[in-house]
Amino acid sequence: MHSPSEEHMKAVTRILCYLKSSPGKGILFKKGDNLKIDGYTDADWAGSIQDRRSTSGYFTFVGGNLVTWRSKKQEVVVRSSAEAEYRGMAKAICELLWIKNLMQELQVEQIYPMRLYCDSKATCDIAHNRVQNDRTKN
Amino acid sequence: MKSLGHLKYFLGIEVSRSKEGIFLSQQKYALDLLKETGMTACNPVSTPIEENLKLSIHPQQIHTNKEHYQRLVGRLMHLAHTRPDLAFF
Repeated sequence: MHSPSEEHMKAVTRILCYLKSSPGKGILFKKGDNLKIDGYTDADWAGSIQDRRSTSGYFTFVGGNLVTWRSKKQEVVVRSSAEAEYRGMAKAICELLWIKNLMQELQVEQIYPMRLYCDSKATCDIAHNRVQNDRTKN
Repeated sequence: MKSLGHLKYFLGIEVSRSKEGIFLSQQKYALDLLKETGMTACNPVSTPIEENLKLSIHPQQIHTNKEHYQRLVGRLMHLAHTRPDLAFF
């Protein structure tokens, strides 16, 4: 951002060309019969060739409607893809809890458990504490 | 207090209601952005980023107009309010 190059500008131009193909896209909120809270996470391990930091993201649904989403470069360097995913998962859980508390404040009763989806088996296992902690060190 | 009826347009976000539900978009903002950048005649592409593109900063590269770049990024970030497909940026 401090010293953008022609390459960076080219990436922005690409986004504008993409925008040209779909300027009317937006978000649709459908009426549903429940207000289940779901979250999905993913991470790109060491995606930055500059400093080898990872990027992780999540998006959350309430009653099948997309409400919040985020994609952010992580603030530390991690040493495995599982760790990158796990940190992303932690961020997503914070968001899910925030939504849950907000809905509680709005007196919307939450009868279903919240669900978080992650595509990494190893990370899910760590989250379930099914593997020994030692194994997660590399 | 007076009711102004159903919400249609607020802070640049268009709101439309149908049987299906409530739809939020920033079509006008997107089209204005294309007009302002002179991109209305560009070739549309179906994905927002080149595959396996890695951006970095190295000393040999050619600099671009910083103010212009930052302004564009800011406008795209504003557009991301109703466009999660641009959130990676």
